Amino acid sequence: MTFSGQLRVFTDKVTVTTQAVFVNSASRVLQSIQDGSPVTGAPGQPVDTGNLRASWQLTFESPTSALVSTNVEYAPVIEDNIKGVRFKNHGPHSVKITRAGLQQIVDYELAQSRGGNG
Amino acid sequence: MASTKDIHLTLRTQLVTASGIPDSQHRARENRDYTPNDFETYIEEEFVPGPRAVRTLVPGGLSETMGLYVVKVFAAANNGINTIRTLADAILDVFSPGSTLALSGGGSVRIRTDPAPFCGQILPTGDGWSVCTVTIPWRVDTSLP
Repeated sequence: MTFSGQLRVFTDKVTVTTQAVFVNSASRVLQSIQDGSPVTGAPGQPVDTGNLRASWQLTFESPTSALVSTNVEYAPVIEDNIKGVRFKNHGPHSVKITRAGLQQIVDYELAQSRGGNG
Repeated sequence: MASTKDIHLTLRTQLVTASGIPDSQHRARENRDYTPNDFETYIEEEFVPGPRAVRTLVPGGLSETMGLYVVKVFAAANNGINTIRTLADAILDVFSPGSTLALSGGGSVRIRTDPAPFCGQILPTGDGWSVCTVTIPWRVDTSLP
C-alpha cells in the first residue's frame, strides 16, 4: 500500500474510533445519571415511582453534539436534595457528579476502544 | 493518601472565611441534626467524595481523587434575591478556580477549573424557604506508595 493509502486507512480508523468514543461516552453519561456509575461515582436517580429515572433522555443533536435532559419539574429538587430527604435508594447530585467526571468517562471509553480495561 | 476527613475539614475551614457567612448556630454540618430558626438564613454543607483513579503506574506515581463540596444557602422565601445571592457569591469568592488549600496531613486540595465552582437557581422549597446550591468541584493528587 502506498503511503497516502496508509494515511487514508489511518484517517478512516481515527474517524470511526472518534465517533464510537463520542457515542459511547454520551450513552455512559446517560447511564451515570440514571443508574449511577463506578466510573464517575454518581449514585443514580432515586427511584420511587420511576418517573424521574425514566424521564432522562439522550438526544444526538448532530454528529458532534449530544444532549442529556429531563423535563421533570422536580428534577432539581432531587438533584440537590433540597428537602433534605433520606432516599430509599440511589442518591442526589448525579448530574453534578457526572459532569465533574466527564473526562473519566471519555478516558474510559477511549481505553475500551483500544481493547483496554479502562 | 490524603484522608477524606482532612479534605472535608479543610474545605469547611475555607467556607467559614466567606464574607457574611452565618455564625455556627446557623450552619448545618454533615451528619448532625439541625433545626432552622424562624426563617433565619443558614447554610448546609455536603461533602461528596468521588472515585479515585491511578494515573501513573509506577511507585511514587500519581493517584487522583475528585469530588464535590456542596453548600446550600437557605433564606426566607418571597424575600427577593439579595440575601441569597450575596452569600452565594461570597462563598464562590473564597473558592477560586485553580486555587489550592493546604491539607493538615500534607499535600493540598485544588479547586477545579473544569468544571469550576458554580451556583444554581434560587428554588422555593415549598415550606417557607428558598435555597440556592453552591457546588465546589475539588481534586486531590497524591503519590502512590
